[in-house]
Amino acid sequence: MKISLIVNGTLWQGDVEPRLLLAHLLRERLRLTATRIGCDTSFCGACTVLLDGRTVKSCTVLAVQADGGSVTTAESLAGDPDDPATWHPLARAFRAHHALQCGFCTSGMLVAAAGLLAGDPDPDEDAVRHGLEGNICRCTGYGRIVDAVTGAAAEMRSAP
Amino acid sequence: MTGHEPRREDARLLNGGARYTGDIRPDGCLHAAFARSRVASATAVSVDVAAARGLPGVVAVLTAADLDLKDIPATLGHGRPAPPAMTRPPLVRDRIRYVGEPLAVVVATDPYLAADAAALVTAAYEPAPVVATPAAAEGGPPLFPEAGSNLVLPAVTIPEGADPDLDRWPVRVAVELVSPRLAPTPMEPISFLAAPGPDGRLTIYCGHQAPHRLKRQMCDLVGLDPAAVRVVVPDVGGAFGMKAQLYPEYPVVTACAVRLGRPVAWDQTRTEQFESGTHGRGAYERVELAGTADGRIRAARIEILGDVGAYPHNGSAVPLFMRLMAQGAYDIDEVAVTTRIVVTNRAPTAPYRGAGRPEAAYGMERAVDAYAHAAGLDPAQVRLLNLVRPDQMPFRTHTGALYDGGDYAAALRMALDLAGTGEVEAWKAAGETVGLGMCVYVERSNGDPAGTEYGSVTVHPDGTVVARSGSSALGQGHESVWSRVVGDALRVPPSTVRVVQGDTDAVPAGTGSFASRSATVGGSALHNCATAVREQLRDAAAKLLGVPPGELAGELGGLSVAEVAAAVYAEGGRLFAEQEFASGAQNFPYGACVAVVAVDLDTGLVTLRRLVAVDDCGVVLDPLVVEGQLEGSLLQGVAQALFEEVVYDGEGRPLTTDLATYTLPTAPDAPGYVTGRLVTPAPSNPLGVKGAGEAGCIGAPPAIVNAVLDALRRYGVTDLRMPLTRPGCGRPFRAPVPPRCRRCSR
Amino acid sequence: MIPARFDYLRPDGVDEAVALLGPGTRVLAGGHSLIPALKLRQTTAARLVDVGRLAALRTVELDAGVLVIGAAVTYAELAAHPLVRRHCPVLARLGGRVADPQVRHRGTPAGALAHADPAGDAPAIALALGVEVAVRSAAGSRTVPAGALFTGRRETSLRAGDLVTAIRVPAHDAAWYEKFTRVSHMWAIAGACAVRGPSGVRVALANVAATPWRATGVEGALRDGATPAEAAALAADGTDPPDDVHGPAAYRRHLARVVTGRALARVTP
Repeated sequence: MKISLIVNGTLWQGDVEPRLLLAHLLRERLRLTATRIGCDTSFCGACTVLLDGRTVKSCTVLAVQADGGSVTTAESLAGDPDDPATWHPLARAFRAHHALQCGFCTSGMLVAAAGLLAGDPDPDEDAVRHGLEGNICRCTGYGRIVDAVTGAAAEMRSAP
Repeated sequence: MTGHEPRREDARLLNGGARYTGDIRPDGCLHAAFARSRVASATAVSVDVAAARGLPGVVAVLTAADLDLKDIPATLGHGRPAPPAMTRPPLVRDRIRYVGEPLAVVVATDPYLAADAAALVTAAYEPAPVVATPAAAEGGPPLFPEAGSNLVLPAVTIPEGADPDLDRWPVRVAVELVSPRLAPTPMEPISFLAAPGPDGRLTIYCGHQAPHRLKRQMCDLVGLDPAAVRVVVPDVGGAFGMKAQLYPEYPVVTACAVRLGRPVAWDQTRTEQFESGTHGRGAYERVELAGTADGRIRAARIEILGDVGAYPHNGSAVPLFMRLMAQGAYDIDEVAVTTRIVVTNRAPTAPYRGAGRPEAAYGMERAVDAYAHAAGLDPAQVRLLNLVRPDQMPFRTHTGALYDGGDYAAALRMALDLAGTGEVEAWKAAGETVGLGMCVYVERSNGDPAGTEYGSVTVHPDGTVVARSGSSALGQGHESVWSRVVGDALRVPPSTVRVVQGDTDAVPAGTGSFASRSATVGGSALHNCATAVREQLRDAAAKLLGVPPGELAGELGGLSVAEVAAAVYAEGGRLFAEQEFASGAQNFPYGACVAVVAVDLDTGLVTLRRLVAVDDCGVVLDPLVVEGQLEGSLLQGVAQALFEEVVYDGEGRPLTTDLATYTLPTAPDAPGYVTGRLVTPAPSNPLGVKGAGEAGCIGAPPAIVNAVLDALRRYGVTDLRMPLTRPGCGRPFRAPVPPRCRRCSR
Repeated sequence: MIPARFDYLRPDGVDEAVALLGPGTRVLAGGHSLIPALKLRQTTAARLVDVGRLAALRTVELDAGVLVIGAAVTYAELAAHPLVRRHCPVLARLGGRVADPQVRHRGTPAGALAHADPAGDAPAIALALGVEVAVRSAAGSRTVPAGALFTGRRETSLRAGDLVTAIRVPAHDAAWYEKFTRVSHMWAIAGACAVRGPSGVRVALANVAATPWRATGVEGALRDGATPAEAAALAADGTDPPDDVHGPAAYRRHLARVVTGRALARVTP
């Protein structure tokens, strides 16, 4: 089936099998590998992307369902690795708070946090924790992630 | 080095630059999928692959008969042999021993086609009796008839001949405990890619904890020339012991790539990880303590039954690690530990974070609480009375460990202070169902004291530094910490140090990152090399300036590292040191954990009001990195106590096969952490470091279970099984049911 | 984890969608029950008919006091919609709490009713609210009361050619769903929804039987003057809870009484 979608601002058109999962389209066809697959059953959240501005688990969305839509992956949050000034505030806060270890859940966590803050720029701790309840991290124990998201939210609110 | 520096690897991990094995897909890459057994025990197995071979896009479907692979040897770990009949064929030959065991491999042009074809593979077999529990293993139908029994290790008591007489003491207690099987569940499942290159060499990409070992194993099992094999460890999405193992899929995929002359990738699904990735824990223990009415514990008799699943692999060592630490943090006159290890029709086990120490600490710490209650004494007082004292260090246990220093009582006192015991008493007085529990643990890191790690340091002519380590990172931050270790010893900025790891071509030797050994041996090797190269630099600078080395003004007499290096290389010299470092001793981190819980009597829900951990892992190389290890490990311990268990039914079928059935906590379920730190440098390595990664998951489970028992004791509850909110233990505490539910009773 | 092959059709209207339905065809809305089941190869479909974007199924309106929620409205939209928040806060609250944010952005309550997982929250709430499911088929339109919808574990009285178009929620005075889980994002180990309406209190339970379970004994006791606590003690009567890794049957029976008591306390003055 022919589909077209905007991925990180760029139009992509192609022929896909109906059963192709959005996560596989992004990873295998578009080589956008920051979207990662950790559980296959829409629990872990490593595959989180924004579809038309809302966070979704791309392992549980068919590529054909995204036809005509706009997909934003963790790559769109990336800055120049060598220049922290270009990083997304969430990325800077994750590093400052040591909110990542192995990094595998991190891109999903960043997209989930960005989606959360888009809807609630000033979440309290409880809102941050529940806002991230679709994302599993096995390394950090979560506390530092919560601190990082709260810190980034403050920075983003005070940004001009 | 002091203080935290932002991690170097974060720059790529946070900006779309990470590359895990599954992100690497060479042109023309083929995809492997495995057909697996759906029964736990069968003989006369015959696998039918005809339908799978007929699908378009399928390049090969291979069974054991098609691939000439050696069996994976049976082992008890550290070179101790297991019964030789218990070897493991990489693909099922004639006998199935657990659900999820690979029957055949499909290689196809696309992962979707590979999955379709794998679903068409069928097996005919004769059902065989199932050994579904370790209790049923001894005397049960043997999984390996040639071995004669299911015993990997028959009952062995240490010290040899020890038989303490517990009956002569007025206070005696016995506890029987289970440390349930757990799935390590790193967020990255296993990926493996074998890619033949145009030069005839084979490159293997795998998030493995021991790349040099993996290379040796592939060469041995598949029959490859070591000179023609390279193993690369890209970014690794967590491991926790699960990725240090030799999975049967590895030689199979490697053999497929060699046979087909094309890259072959295998991405383990999460369900495959639950069914056939290794599990941890799975220990059954009976602890008896005896001593005086005023709280002095004098004798202990401990029995350990270890379940290693269908094949004795690295997991067989775990009950022996448990045995080593069975005496806990206490000075006890007489100790006897009897250990048995059996095979069952379940997935094989392997070390999982903590590996034997959590099981040992859980047994001893539950028993010490039971002792305190039997004697009518405060659990903290009993601990303080019996803990090994600083003036007894180094302290030799009856089980053969040599504790290398620390103030165990100070850790407990600090943890109790941080927990706010007064507030807990006030809550109790106000009628709240709250409890406080504690654990004092001592653990061992650097499991094999004779084990070496390779390190080298090179200063190049332009003054840049390359550090090579045989210990590669799994997410802990080696690039950052190694560059600081080397920079500090060389007196150069860490930013000038490039760290090379995880590549058997680029690092000549290596043992790996497991058993909390990386900083101890890997870090020390680099420290020693950098220290040696610093001397080379100073000697060269002195020679250039024409002064004796001892009279250099400042570090290099005013010369820069690049100036000295350029001069050395111009004269045909080089600045380089390498070492395979062994510390020669295990080291023994220790600490205390205190949990404060509230229990909802109507539902059994346990809420952590406070979780305190005080740890002493020796010298801290980076405080935030160590804190991150502690907090992550604590949550794994919390999850063990409250949520996680790999469950099998009576036919050996796994019931926890995905994240819907195997419960992991997310952010709202995690407690806050209160931590404290003591520092007793390790005497056995130049950095003074000890292992930092295991502490939390050792301390948290006994502290939490003891806390819940403290809250519920007034309701007559004296025993609980982990995970606490599981069937039976999350039982309605007010309902008229016996305190031991049917799942708790053994 | 990869689903077996299927065809995919995305009709432009309800009539076209209904015309495409038949044996072997499954309706796809958010897909958060269906796609995981397809990936695990626990269920198969020859083709999927995607109704997730049909404008006619994406509306929420009030029809003579009845709240009509289109079948393709997601949980997140439910949580945010002013009409739902005003007229059915229990569903608005569910829309902000079930599973996790990503799932709520895709999953639909109507899909959950059609999936009929007895562990689901929406089916039990629908049963307690006394909702009617609006159905279109080649034969025309009809409504199915929730009480006649659930026939077995993940089985409904819907037929192969049926398309759920909306959920019709009758007016009520108060409603509360009390859910017990150990971790926040999981299904209920047991859940109870109590709804107070003009004809008394209705109670339905999640995950205590093969279908969402109407606790008629509790309702009857309340009618006969029992206190909420006395009535809640009857909540497990007649249930047949699953015995699984999340909890044994006896524990779920006990929890049924606890969550029913808590839900009743929220809706009884």
